[in-house]
Amino acid sequence: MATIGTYYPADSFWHHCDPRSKFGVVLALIAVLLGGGNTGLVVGCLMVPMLFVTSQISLKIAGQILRKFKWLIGVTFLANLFFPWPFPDFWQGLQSQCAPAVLVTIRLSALLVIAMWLSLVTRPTAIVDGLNRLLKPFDLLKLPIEELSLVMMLVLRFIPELMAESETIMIAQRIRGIEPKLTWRTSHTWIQSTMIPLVIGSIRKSAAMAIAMEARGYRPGAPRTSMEELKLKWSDWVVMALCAGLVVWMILF
Amino acid sequence: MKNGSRFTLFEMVLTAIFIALTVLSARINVAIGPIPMTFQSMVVILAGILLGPKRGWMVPMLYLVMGLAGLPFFSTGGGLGYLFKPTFGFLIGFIPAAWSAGAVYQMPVIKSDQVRCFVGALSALIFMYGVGLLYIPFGAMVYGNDLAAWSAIVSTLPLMIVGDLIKSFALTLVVPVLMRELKATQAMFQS
Repeated sequence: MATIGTYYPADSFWHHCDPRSKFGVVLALIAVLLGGGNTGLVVGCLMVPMLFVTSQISLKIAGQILRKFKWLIGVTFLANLFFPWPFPDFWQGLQSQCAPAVLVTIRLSALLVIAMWLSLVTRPTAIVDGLNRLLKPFDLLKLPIEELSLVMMLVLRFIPELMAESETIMIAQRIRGIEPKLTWRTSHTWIQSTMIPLVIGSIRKSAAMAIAMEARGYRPGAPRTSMEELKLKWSDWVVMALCAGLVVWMILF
Repeated sequence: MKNGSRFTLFEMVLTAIFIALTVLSARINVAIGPIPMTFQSMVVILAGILLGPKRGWMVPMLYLVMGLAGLPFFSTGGGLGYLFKPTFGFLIGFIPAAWSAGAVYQMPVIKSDQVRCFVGALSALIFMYGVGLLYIPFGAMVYGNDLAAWSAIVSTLPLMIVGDLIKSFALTLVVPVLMRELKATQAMFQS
């Protein structure tokens, strides 16, 4: 079972960048790739490896990401190759479909890789922080943003704990002879014997957590400060301006 | 305990822990005969039933928001690229699914606990598959055509449905026990 987090530690410009400006980079590149036609495709495909190199991540990792999606990419390529199926002339039809199929496949691969790049260069806590700051304006709509941001932080805290617990439970039940390899008749035994302890454990854990927080005077919805405040540096403004410029350029030309 | 907030602290922590369980369950793979199963849909339905229709839908919604923002929460990572996977609709379908499971479970018309639970799970599955299938054309935007998406999904659909039915049946056995525990814990907070 893979651990949570694909963060790739390094000491580059992008690693120190504010998560919000990195969201901007990803959104701008997706817009360019999807809406920019063929020029957009070229620009996007040049930018993606550039981002990886400037953030000191080897391109092999991009390859690994693509390998995870090999099924999706392969099926897309084949379906685009053969789509207007009854070709009047088989070989000629195939030749005319070849170029668009390759373009669609490249576009899809670039989109998948660029979306993953964000989680490679940003810590999970930084992502949640950035997300909370981006959601702040929704406070005006009376949405409970303060509460939601607490929930998001708690999720990150609970995942490793629950992961360890679920492994313990599964091993304990295997010792008792309940294998995760199921037959039709006993399928529910395994589900029962892992789900019930796991969920009951989580309910008790959250009760203990809530009591502990209340005892320390935590009030939901009260104004709070954070230990690490996000601050936009001048470099972040430059990055965001460049992204906006790229999108505007794509729209104009 | 209210303090001007619409949530109690216990509800918030419980929501968080169910999101964590959703993340976890995407990674637990079990095979029943030839059918590969993950427990994600089951955990989402469970969240809907246990937290009720008003709170339950927030579990899949926050899960999606966090996953799309780039946290590696989905079965093969995370990030906005997931929007372009044709199967993303099933994840969106979790939101109405959790709501409907909770809504059906709280209907007083059906007397039996187990029957309410099963019907709730079935209604959730209808939403899940409905939204999932409706999303395919959108997800296939980048593909040039829908054929790739359709062929990939339709081939696995029957197996998925059988697996989901087994899970719904298992839910009827799990829910009464968990509900009792949750009620006992909530009673602790109300005193």
